[in-house]
Amino acid sequence: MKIIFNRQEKEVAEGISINELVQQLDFNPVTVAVELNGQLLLHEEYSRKLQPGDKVELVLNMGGGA
Amino acid sequence: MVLTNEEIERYSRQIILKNIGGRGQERLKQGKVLIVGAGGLGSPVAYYLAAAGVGTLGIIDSDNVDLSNLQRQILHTTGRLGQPKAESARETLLALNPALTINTYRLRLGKENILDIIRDYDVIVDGVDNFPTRYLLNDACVMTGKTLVEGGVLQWDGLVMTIKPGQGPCYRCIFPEPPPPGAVPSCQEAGVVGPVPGVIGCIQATEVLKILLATGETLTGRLLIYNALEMRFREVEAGRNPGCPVCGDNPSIRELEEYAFVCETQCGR
Repeated sequence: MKIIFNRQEKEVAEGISINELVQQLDFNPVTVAVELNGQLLLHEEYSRKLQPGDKVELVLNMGGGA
Repeated sequence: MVLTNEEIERYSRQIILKNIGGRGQERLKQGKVLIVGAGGLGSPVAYYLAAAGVGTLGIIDSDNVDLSNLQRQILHTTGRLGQPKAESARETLLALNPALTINTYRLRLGKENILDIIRDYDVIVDGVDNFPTRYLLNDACVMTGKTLVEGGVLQWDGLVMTIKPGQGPCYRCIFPEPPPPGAVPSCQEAGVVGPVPGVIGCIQATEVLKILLATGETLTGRLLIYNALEMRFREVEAGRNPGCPVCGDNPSIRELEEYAFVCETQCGR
């Protein structure tokens, strides 16, 4: 199925969860926040399965104050 | 607190605004703001707050000015290499606005000193360069009900939000735990483009002014995310997490805890 990831279409497996997607993209789920359709998810919600057309963006935990 | 003629002239371009005025300028003069870190974020924050006439600024930094800081940390100068950053910051800010009170703290915040220091300030600004202090600051501000203007940068990216305990999410609602050591690189390891903390720091300073003036809307319950490479800002809504370990309904963190500084990201600065 197709989702929109970081504003670009991306083909992912049917029924993939947020957690699986984040890991597939090589991010540690603890280090990112996930925005689904404009709303930030709680970390508890990462087991949620994605639907076709969902818009997903990652927000990185930036510790640098430079 | 009455403004002098010189102050009215100095701040005339903002006093003219209807939601600032003389009354607002007096509020700024009475304001006390603590800036944690006199680096890439702390520099523009402190500079603009000093310029705007915020009466008392606290500057915390335990480091000395290094040549590699000067690409972005605009409070410091080549002539002050090796000097404590907190003192260098004070010198620059007083040269700009001699009437201010600038308190300097040459120390690293820890659970043993943080509550005593933040107690005296109205608003706290996060410009730290490491996760342990970032989480300590969040937890201390949540526990004492202090408003915290949070900012972070890395490479071409930045993030900013205003945490008002009880009125929206805290940092842990969004990122419950610090990343494991090494999972997220520091600016020292991964680099940062100078104007990126400049942009984020200017937004933090604007948030502080609005908080002191009690005007406008702050980035509470909203994260503003900046990507300079694509020159794009986006906003994400975030609510308080009832399961948050520090500000949730049943918090598991009831006393300040400190995460270890790990050499991989903190040493050799």
